[in-house]
Amino acid sequence: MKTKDFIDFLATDAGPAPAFNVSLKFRTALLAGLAASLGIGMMANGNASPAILWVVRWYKVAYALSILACGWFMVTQLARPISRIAKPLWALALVVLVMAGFGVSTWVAAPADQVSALFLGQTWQVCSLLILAFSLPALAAALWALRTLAPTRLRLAGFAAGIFAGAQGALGYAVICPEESFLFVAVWYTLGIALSALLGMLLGPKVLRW
Amino acid sequence: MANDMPREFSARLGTVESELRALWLQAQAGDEAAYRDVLGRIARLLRAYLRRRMAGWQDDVEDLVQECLLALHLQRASYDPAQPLSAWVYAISRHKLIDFWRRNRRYGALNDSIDDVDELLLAGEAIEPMSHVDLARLLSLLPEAQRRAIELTKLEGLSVAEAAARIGMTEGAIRVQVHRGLKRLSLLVKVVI
Repeated sequence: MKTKDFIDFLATDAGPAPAFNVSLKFRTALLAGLAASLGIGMMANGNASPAILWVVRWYKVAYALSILACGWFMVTQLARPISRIAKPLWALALVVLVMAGFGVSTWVAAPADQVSALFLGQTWQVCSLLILAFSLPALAAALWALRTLAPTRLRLAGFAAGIFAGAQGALGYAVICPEESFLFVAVWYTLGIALSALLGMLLGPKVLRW
Repeated sequence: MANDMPREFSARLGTVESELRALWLQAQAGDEAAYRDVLGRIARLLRAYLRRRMAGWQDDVEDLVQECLLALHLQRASYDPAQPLSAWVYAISRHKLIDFWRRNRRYGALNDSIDDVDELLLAGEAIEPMSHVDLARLLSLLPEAQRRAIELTKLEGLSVAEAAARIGMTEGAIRVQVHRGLKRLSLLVKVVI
């Protein structure tokens, strides 16, 4: 077929370009992901009242929300062919560094015999994996949103979806997390979110092709 | 982004970009003639871009040109007027080129030397090249509703309103069927060619 004819075919009755509503898609994904993650957390807690959120340690919530914001800006940018993600990427690095700083200062200030308790808590073996598990619905929702849009850097887009989802998982997990140390959160929460990002990176090139 | 743009896109970027962009914005607003015009110009840019990068695969260049055009059409909503049009076109075409190499299991080919491309090929624009795309055959593979909507509006030249009246659908439903049909075509093109 001649390209000229093909162009005629495409242009005929093409009408005006439809709207490209990135933020609507990701708001929907966020709603679904948060509902799933917080829902699992509250069910696991056996207490479905939202009042439970008030006893969650503030730094866990602040950490998850900061990463969620970085993830939002990255993933909404990467949903388009041309994306600028330097700023949210730096912001993400900064957030992780600040949390690491709090972690290290806890470590330094603690008596030597308590360091391992602060570092490992009682739940270090499950924390990161549960955060990953809590984030899976959010990851599915974010990848769905990306699939309906036009990402061209698939690995990066998958990574951003993983960060976005991992933060939602961490938020839900915080509801049932019994630990009370900056060091614990700096290590195991970060690892859990990183696992989600890694999964997103692996899935991106496979599921986001178009 | 503009800094690592290939030369077919960045050369004379100023004038090419401003002309293309003006046409493209008209097309986005629904101007069909402008859309035809700008797609034709973009096709020429794409042909030069792809010929350089598909040494040894010249026979497939025109297929990919058309695949890119279809992708640009389907994703035209994703163009942000604040960005250079050529960068957007390039990002989507590069995505399609990578997808092509992935399908053809020739990752290394991305790094092929561009020296063996016949420069005459790059210059020559005398004959409009043909692709292997067989539209009639591809359309026959679509579900009935999508095929009818595309045939009526895009081949028989009916307006969307006329097509809607003919098959008793709303105009919105016709547009949805056309869009879904084209989307499916973009998948079929990869398998069938």
